[in-house]
Amino acid sequence: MISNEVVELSRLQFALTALYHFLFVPLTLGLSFLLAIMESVYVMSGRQIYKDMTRFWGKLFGINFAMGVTTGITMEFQFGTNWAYYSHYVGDIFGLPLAIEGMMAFFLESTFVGLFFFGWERMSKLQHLFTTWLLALGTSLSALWILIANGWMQHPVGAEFNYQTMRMELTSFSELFFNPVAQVKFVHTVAAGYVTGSMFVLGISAYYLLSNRDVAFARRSFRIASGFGLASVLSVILLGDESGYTVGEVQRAKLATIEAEWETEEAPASFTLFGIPDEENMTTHYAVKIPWLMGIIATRSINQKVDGINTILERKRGRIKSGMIAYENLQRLRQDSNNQVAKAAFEAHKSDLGHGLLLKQYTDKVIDATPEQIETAVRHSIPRVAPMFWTFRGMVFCGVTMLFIFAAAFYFNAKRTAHKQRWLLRLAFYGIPLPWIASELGWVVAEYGRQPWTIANILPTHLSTSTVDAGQLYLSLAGFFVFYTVLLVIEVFLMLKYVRLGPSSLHTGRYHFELEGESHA
Amino acid sequence: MSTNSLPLSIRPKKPPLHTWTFGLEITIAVLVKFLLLAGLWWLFFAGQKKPMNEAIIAQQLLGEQSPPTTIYKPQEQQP
Repeated sequence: MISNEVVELSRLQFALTALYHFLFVPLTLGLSFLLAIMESVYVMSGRQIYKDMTRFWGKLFGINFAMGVTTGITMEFQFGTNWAYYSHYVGDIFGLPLAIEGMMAFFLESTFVGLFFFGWERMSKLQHLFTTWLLALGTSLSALWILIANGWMQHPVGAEFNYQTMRMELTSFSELFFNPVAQVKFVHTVAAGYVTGSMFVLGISAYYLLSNRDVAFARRSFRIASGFGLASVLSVILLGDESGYTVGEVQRAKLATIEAEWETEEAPASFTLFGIPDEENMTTHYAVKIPWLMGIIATRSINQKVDGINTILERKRGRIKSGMIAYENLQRLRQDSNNQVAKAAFEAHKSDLGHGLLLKQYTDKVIDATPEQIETAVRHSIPRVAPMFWTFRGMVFCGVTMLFIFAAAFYFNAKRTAHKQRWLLRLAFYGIPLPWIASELGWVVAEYGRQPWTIANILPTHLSTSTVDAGQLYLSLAGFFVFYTVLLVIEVFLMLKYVRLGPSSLHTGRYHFELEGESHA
Repeated sequence: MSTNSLPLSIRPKKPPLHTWTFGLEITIAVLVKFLLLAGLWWLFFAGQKKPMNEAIIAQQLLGEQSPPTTIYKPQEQQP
């Protein structure tokens, strides 16, 4: 049996690299679309300032793209080394969207990044605009394939276990592509990226306005960011991935733990706004509830109940016992593939095989598991409540704060007084980290919320890791830490340098640092 | 509105405009990144290939000690 230390270190290493990688991704997603919008305004209006805006924000996009691209490849390193069992068991399915993503990222996105930067003098206005839109599209498309892969881990569809090869095999590409969890995840994640790009442009424009420099440039950037940001943050909140929470048992468990909903809520289910979850006594102290809201969020209706943790655990108990039967018959089938009785029994219970495998963490003899071992497996078959409860609320708090900032910016822009609202400019500037915090917390909710599984209901996390040495994991963890820290330092250094320079970095002679004795362009 | 109201660390100051070009800075940054990435690969992953096949995974999941005798073999299906 693989030690818990190796499992936890492998998880920590993957989580840290994924979280580091995702510092770069949302800004690339968001800025690419903002560049396309700015350049469209330039092409339609013919006004030079919009071209300058596209080129300046494009520089910051370029820094982020250059530092961010291939930072995700370290996760592929880990699949082979630290997650070998996982890679073998589900590689046929998981590898497919990853490979397509690689093609999309390298051939579409990277090609159009090159054309965007070097094509200004070589292409017509319309050709260049087309390139910029393709860059935005390519960026979002590569996100789509990664999220299809991740959505499959959350809600595995279109695949079947083959007991002869001991692997999951793809049975339907369309089911994999149209997986409802992946689709809502895509909308949620990409829109969150648009919010990040908008907050970045809004905050830096606010900085220029607070500094009373490049005012015309900053006001226009602020205006575009506030409009696009408001639309994006509303889509994150209203069309977000909440609707995906009712698809599949792992998603339902995730929802119940986010809500600290111990008992099933009859329709119309209420939403716990705040409270202190007590896992030992399975209750939430000082719960402040909003009637009906949970039903609307989770089921988009007021006449459906929402499962509580106790109901889910009861179902898990049944599935673990069914999984033990699947496990026993799989062993028989492996010894004699012509055993028809074992085959029939396995087919009847194979959807619960993963639940039987949960027992491997507590005993080597799954079919002889004691009632105590089964109860331990049941108790640990869903994620811990407190981290889910608080992380989700942290993410929502950031989202609501950004909604307020974008709504206020949009309102004062409509009144043409946004540049005079000093409090709003300060709020926008200091709010720059909010979308990153929200995105990172969102990934923690999504991935920690899937535990104890790597592939929901199919492959437990403790059976996915390789038999590697813990010392080797500590060393590679330190290596990753150094690698990403160096990248982050370079990124922050270059970003700060070019943000301070502002549009003067374009060397057009029209902006702040190039104008002697003038305060703004 | 005075720039003095901003924190010192972000207060605008005139940076040098014509030191290195943007393109050169990005090229160096990307080179540093690829060198580090190659170093990481070489140090921690290149020699760590894990052999993995059906028998190994069956041993991990089911505790099978030896390869079963009647198991499916892909090559048998070849014409």
